[in-house]
Amino acid sequence: MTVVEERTMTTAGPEPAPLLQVSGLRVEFPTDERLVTAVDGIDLSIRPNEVHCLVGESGSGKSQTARAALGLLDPPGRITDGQIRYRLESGQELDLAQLKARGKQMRHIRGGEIGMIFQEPARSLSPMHTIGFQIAEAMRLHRGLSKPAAWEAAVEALKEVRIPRPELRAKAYPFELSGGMRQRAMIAIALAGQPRLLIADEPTTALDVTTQAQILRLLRRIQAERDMAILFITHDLGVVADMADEVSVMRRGEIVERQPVHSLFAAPQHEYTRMLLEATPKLREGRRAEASSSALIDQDSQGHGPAEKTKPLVEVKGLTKTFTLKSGVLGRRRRHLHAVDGVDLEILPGETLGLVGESGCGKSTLAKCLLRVEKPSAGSITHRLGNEQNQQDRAGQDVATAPEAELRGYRQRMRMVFQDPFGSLNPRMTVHDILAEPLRGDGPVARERLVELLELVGLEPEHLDRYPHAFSGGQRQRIGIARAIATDPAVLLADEAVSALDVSVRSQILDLLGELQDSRGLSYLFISHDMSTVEHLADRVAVMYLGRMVETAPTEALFADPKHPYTETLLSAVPIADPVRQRARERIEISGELPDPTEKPEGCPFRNRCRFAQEICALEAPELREVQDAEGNPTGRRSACHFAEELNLMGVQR
Amino acid sequence: MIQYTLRRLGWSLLTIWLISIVCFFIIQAPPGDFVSVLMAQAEEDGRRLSAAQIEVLRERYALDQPWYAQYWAWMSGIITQGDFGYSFRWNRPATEVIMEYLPFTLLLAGGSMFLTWIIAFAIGIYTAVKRYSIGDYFFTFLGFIGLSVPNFVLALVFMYIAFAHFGMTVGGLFSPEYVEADWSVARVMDLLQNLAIPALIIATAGTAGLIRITRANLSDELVQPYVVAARARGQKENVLLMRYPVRAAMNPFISTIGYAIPSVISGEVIVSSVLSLPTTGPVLLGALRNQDMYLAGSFLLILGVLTVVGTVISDLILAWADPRVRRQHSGAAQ
Amino acid sequence: MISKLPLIGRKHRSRNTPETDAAVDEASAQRSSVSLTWRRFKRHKLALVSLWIVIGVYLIAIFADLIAPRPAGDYNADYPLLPPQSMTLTDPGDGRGFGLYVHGYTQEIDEVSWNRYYTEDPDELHRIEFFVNSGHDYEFLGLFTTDRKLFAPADPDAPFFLMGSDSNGRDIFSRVIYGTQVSMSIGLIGVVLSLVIGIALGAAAGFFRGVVDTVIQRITELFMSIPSIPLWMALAAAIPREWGPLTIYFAITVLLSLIGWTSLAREVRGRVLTLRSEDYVVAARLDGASRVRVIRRHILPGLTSHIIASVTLAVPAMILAETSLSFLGLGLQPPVVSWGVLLQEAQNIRSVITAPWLLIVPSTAVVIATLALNFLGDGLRDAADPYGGATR
Repeated sequence: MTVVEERTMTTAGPEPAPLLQVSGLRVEFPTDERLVTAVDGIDLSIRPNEVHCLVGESGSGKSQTARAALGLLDPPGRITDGQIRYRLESGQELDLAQLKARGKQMRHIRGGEIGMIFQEPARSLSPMHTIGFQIAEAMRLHRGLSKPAAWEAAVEALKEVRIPRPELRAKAYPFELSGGMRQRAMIAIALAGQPRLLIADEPTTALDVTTQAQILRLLRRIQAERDMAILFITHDLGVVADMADEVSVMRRGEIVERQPVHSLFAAPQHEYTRMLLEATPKLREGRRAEASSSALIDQDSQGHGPAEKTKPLVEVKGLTKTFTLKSGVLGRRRRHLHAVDGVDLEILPGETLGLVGESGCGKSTLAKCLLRVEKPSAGSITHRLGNEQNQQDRAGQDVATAPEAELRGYRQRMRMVFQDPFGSLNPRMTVHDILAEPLRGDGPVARERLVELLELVGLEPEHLDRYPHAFSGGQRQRIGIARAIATDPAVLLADEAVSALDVSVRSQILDLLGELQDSRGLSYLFISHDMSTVEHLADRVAVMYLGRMVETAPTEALFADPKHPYTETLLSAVPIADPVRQRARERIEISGELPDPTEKPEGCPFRNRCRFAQEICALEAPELREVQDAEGNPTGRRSACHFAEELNLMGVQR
Repeated sequence: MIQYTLRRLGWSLLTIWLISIVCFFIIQAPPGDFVSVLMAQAEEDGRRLSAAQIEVLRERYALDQPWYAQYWAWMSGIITQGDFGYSFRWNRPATEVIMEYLPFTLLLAGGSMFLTWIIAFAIGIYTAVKRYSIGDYFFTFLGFIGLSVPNFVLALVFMYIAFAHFGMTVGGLFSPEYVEADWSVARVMDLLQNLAIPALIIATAGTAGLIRITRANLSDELVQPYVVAARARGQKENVLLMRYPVRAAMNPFISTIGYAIPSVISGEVIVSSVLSLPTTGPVLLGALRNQDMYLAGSFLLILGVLTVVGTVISDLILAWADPRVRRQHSGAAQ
Repeated sequence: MISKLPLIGRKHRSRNTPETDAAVDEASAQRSSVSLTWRRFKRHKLALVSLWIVIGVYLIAIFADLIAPRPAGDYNADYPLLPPQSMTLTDPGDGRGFGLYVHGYTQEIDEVSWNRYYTEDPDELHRIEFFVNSGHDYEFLGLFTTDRKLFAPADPDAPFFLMGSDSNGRDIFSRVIYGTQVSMSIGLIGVVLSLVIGIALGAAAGFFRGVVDTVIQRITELFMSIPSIPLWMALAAAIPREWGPLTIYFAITVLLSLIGWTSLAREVRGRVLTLRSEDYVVAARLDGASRVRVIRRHILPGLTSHIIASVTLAVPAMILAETSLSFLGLGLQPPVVSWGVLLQEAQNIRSVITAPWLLIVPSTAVVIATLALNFLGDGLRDAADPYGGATR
């Protein structure tokens, strides 16, 4: 595969000598059955002070490249060819590929010259030790400090990564901290030895988007202050657009293209890069949904549409799900977790409703309640889903309280697509049996019918007798979709249905969902943490925060002109996969992190992170209500903010 | 933490109570009540119990009353006066017999627990770090053999070897010259020497299981990202190994010790019987064979209580050693 | 083992999308998980060998009447404590050609200690015949009566003690073969009973959770915290002596399983808890599958491999427990023959020293059976759960 060489930029002076120069690197994993080549002869050079992004989908070998540099390959992986030349401050060059993985030199390189942070901060910190201890360990190793001095330095380091009350936090165990704080602690550890290169391996993938924005900002600031280079490994082109100076694109163990960030996005040379860029939705850049059902939205927003058409298929009122946590002697101390707290929601015929929010906001619990996987604690769910064949199913029945036995018809018309393509298919059943399962109630299932279903989702008839283990993630998700549409539903509930997939596969599945909607008039409740995907797909968007619905609006309106400060924050945190637009944006500093859901603040749940919070916000919880325009007319959108009309919030511009 | 301790103690009291009921029913199981057995026994020996004596005993053990009153009579004796009943075989209060034999049992059980722990710890770490090496296979195989050979066979084989090749008679806790001697440093050393082999034999059964668990846990921990992260900050391999993954793998290890106590006590009973050690094992066996039920039931009760106490201690150590467990119990997480 | 093994390296160049290039070998794609588990299991050579040994041991138990040269209780008072005999392949020149022979013995009795000393008589040869009429009738698998034995001396009165004799002159080899029946079946039946209790309680705890779970968990913990051997001893001692051998056999089996179910219950509970929250089980509910079908079609198949593995590991524990109890004289009583009963003869060190085979032969049988079962169970567990830890 040809590597598109970087075109020399017109910078004055000679090119600085690279800090890290990888050439012809090969990493192989010999397994029982075959030899897996993870990295296949790549060249990569990182200059001092640059942020170099290594982009690729899962399994492209990007993490293995980074691990090879520090001798951290998991057995049986090993470097079989190539050099990794690292340039010390003295100008001397070391070939890291030749160093003994456990030798003294390599130990100095690790942490002393090259720091590393990892994807899962929760698992990358020892749960048995305080974070202070772990930072101090790095301080002692690389700065030769005494124990008390190292502890002080650790507290100082926590301050530097902006952890509030560092003296106290140093004594905390990792599980007592939020994900963002853990990643900050990891950064403090990686920086302890004052490295000249920081390798960040998907450092924000496990984090929420607002936390991601905070971590990225922190990394940028530290990089500037310390004159440090960063090798930033990610699959997310939005993050690349935000962070990178230089980008290398990796695919199947090879680097297919390398360019400065701006020219890469403007003029990708390799077809794979082009495909990636096309498959990545960018905020406010044309939507699929607009073409298909904009008419519906217009009618809705004007409030004059034919009543029959806009009458909701499913109507949720005041839905609440409370979990009780027991503790104390004999479980007498009980705390209540309002995972979903009085949510109202409507799903209209033929629309795609996007439901967004950060982890722990209750969107998945809401989905489970909708299908009665969980029984709601309060509230009602009414529907008009009954079709001709299902007359026994009384429309208008309250699903929230109906006995399990009477839910069959409802569950045929409202179906679920799961997030995990691996866990949602029974590994002990063939595709045939999996697809036949929902149809069994109506007597024997004809094979032709199942073949037809498979073809609808783009799979072949011969796939019918295979077991799930024979399929890739995307194919499994197609099977999951086929199972969902088998009963001819009116509504599909997709809970993070594409989140586990790679970008290219993701866009194929989204296309499939779009086609199915057009041909079968489906409604979708599309639950996702990914704002870009939701914008791409949804007609209407609902935003959740700490179990409450804080804003609902047509997609266009919500993204251009949010009416709730939380929505504004969320939008501002989403990186746009376009360096020009991303870097020109005005950012909003969001303070703090999602509070513990059992300790929800009184009044407005968002008030302690809201930059507009007033006295009333602490006293009175704002209801989700219709927002009025300047003349006092209804706008067809709703917000749960006392100041929805007054505030002038920042949307995302095209 | 205090809350957790209290709760844990509460549960263990309940468990002990249930065990005591089980033991009581075992005492009651043989036909005929205790006094009639005692009378028959006395007659055999050519003695005769006076009516007054019989009356006192019937009164003491509430034999004319329903079972719960008898249970209460037995239990209250134990709690208030440490009176476990009467052994007609030994013609002594059961308490005396128990006190004579229990210390050696504790010593032996403690010793084999300690050996189990040390061996399993060392081999467990070795086999996990050197997974799929020759040494790993060797120790794993050895562990399985330990698991599959009955304790008493091991004891007999050992005795046979000692006799056939070294001309030694094994058995007892003291060499002949020390049996009657006063306590001295030399006597203690002799005791420890004699204790080592039985302790090792008892340890074999439990060790295999513990090695397996340690190996599995540590193997899981070794591939955790925090190990890689510690490596990535430049820590030395052996420091890192003991500080992070071994520390984390110790938890299941500690909690398993609680469950290893019953097996050690079980092993002690059998091995001591074979090696005729002056511990509770042979006495319990004799009591059971002769239906000397107060003695048997009391031994059973004490062994059960010891086990429960051991489990509580191991649970508390676990909570003390592991911040996650501590937090779970303090009720901060679900 | 390897947390993040890169999935790339399928080196055929892309045809169109990365999704479709997973060229699947049709045969493996249509393999059920049972056959995949079997394939993983077959990689465990030791476990595979153990499987054959276990099958062999159970076959011996089934065909004990055919294999054992003599009935279990048959004795030859002329030959007490005869050491193991050796067979020789020779041609005594009587015109019947080469064949297997055992020697006869001359014996002396020490006047003081009354010990017997046997000396092989080189001239006295007894030919071993195959499928010979032994004169001891038995029912072959309950089908027909025969007296043919797999191998036995042609002369029924000839001494034939391949693994020595006991103090009553009974053939240890035959008795160990018969002991296989009792010891192996007590393990199996005991485990089946444990399994019933364990699955019922474990599944109930896992499925209903809440109070049911708490109560069952406490009961399990209670049973686990009582030292099992003393408890077994006590309960076994409470079995009335006047009961018949068969009744005692069943009583002992019930006792073993009463105490042995705990680990199975814990295992089942843990698995049910994990399985019931699996997405595919939720999906089955949403597909309209009835509760019975969810359990039968979606949860149970996920459990079976684990249950089989646990059961296999529980059988040797039961066998060991029976052996220990019987050895102590609290379990099965003669004339029932089990390995533990046979080991009663090796109670004290003196008899072990005079006749080591009394200890060696039955305990070798115990060790082979339990070792094979342990290896088998271990292999099954690894195959059923290739990524899981061994502790749960």
